[in-house]
Amino acid sequence: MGKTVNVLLVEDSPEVSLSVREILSGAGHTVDDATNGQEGLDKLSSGTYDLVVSDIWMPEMDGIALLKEIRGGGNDVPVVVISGGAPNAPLTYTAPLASTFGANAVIYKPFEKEELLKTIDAVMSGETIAPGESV
Amino acid sequence: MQSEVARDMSATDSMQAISLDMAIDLANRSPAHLMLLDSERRVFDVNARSERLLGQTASALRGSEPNGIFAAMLTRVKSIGYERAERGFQLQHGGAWYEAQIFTTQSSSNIENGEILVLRATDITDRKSAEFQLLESEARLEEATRIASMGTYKLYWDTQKVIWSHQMYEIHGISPGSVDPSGEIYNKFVHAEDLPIVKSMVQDLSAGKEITGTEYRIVREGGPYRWVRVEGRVLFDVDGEPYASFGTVQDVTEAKNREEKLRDLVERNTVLTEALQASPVGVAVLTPNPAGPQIFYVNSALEEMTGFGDSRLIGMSLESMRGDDTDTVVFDGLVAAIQSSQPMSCELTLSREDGSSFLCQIELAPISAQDDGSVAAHTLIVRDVTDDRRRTEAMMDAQKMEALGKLSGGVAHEINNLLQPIITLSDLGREACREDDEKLLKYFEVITGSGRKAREVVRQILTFSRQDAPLIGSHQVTPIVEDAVKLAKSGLVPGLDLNCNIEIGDAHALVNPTQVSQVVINLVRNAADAMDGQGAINLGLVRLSEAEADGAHLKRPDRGWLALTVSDTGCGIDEESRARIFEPFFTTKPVGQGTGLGLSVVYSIVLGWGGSINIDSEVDMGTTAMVYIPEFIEK
Repeated sequence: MGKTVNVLLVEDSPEVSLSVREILSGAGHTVDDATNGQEGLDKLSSGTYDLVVSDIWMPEMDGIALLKEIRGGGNDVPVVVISGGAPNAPLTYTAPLASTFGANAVIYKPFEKEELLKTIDAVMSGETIAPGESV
Repeated sequence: MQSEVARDMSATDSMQAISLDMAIDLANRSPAHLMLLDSERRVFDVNARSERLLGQTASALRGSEPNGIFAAMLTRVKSIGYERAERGFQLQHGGAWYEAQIFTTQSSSNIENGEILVLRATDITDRKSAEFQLLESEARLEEATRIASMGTYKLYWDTQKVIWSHQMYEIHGISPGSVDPSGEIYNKFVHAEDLPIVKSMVQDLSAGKEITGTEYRIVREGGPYRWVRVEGRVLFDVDGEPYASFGTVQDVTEAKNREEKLRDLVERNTVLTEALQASPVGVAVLTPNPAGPQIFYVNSALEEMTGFGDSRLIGMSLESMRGDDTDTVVFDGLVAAIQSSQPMSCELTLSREDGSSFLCQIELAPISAQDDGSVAAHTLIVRDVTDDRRRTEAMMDAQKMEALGKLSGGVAHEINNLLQPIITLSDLGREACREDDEKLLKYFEVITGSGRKAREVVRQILTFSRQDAPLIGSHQVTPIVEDAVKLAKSGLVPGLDLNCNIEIGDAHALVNPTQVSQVVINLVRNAADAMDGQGAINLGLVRLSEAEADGAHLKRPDRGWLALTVSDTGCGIDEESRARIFEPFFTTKPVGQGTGLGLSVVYSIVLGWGGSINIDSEVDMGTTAMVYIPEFIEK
């Protein structure tokens, strides 16, 4: 287990949000959450986070737009995308697109607890994980 | 002629005597009747032929008035004059025709200052009668040609003089006698384009050749041209010498117009026939027949469609196209429509010569070619729609699959979000359980397990819906399939064998290796499930020949096709199931044994490679799955 990571979780589904929060907090990380991209962006500008874990398909501002804003604003905070479409979301939300716009890793829902934690460890130690690759 | 007279007439010297003897001899041998008159115009002498004609000897005649034919000649001289008489003339006397001539000769005979008048008459009665006959026959011909609206012409070889009959002038649209048709003048009547014909015809006539049916156009003033037909014969005089051409000219414009119309019709029909031959649509003409409709005509498209080449269908009964797959009710309806002269359209499966069948669209229409409007025949327009039907069905399948794919893709996305808490929270719940609470631990395990199974199902649906596009690249197919075969073999029950026949060398295809494995494993698993634990599954990977590719209805890319086949000798698939075999969630396996996604995933993957898949199956005999993959050759 690595050091505690201060995570911003951006996810519109309360059930998924709860699941991820439980995994992260169970692993000793701290979690703040937002329910769409805009909210996430607001939180990012006011607080300090070690990592962003973001869904793609969300109302108001989706995950891709959020990524563009983060990287466009010169913020290189690591981002792990959790894709609802698994390897198969509609084109605009595809995982490869997330990678293109600067996601450090993409994993597909429903994922295992270990998969998420290992991915976070990898990303926090500077690795980049392409969609479809496992840690 | 008597010698003493002659001697009296003759000269005194011997030379003259000899020549006189010769003259007397010649006169006596002459075929002509000769009479010499003295200056008093009394008979001086006659030759032997005249003695016989007049029935008197020369001595008896001497000094008398000329009589008989000679008297007639002298009478005629009065009307025609001596000059004309000297050139010769013809006259009739005592039932005979004579060619006569009267001339004078100076002689130093004992007739003082005597002028001897020679009368010569040759009997030409025979020749004259022949001439008459000729004239008579010409006259009769003239009459006949007049009745037949024919013109006649006569061309004299020596003078090139041409004489026309009355009708000739009429045919040429001018008043009789208004022109002399001799020589070049005639050309102005001839249509410019036909001048060479006429020139060569005139040459032939002048050379004594016969003309049979030479046709050309003549131009009539102020009117359209007319067609004439010319015949020509050589005329011989009474001595058998050719001296002129004679012939007929007939106005054949009406006949010619009819002929042109007919030719036009034939040509038009030829064009139609050619058009029919070139048509991609099958055309037959059927005639009603008590024994069933008979084939009267077929075009090449229909011959090709049916395999009955070389006009073999002609004369055959329509019945010869009925096959085992032919719908009896529709076929009988078609026959009835023909027998009762009704139109009809239908779709019908017909049989080729080799017994194979083809689906066609048929239009039947009666042809009323007869004047009374009664039906002479039927045209049968035949369009082979086998491929159309196949395409339509394939398109409908594809559309159905696409719709299902979109639907399932959307559903899968929702389900994924729902599965995340199921899997995560049940897992965490299990962890949070007291270790001795076995019941609760079990519950959580089952929830987590089910969630994971659901995740697999969803991933398969998403593969089918092709919303993910796994990386496709050029890969050598053989090693991938060999690896997949190893994997597939390991999953087989001990009684089952998997035989491989891979003979595509290092052929490449644009595929995703994982997908190739997925396809192979899926097909082998299906085969194994059908086999009841015993026997052998055969896997083949071959390159298709062009004919095989055509047979499988594959669009032929320039690179060719690879065929991956997996055959079993299992239970087979019935018709109904085969129609639905690629549908997601369709399965024949017992509940709980299959997701019904295997083949739909395979279908989707293969389509993604630009390939196609076909399942051939017979109940209780076995099933063969054929996957066609376009071969890829790097440029």
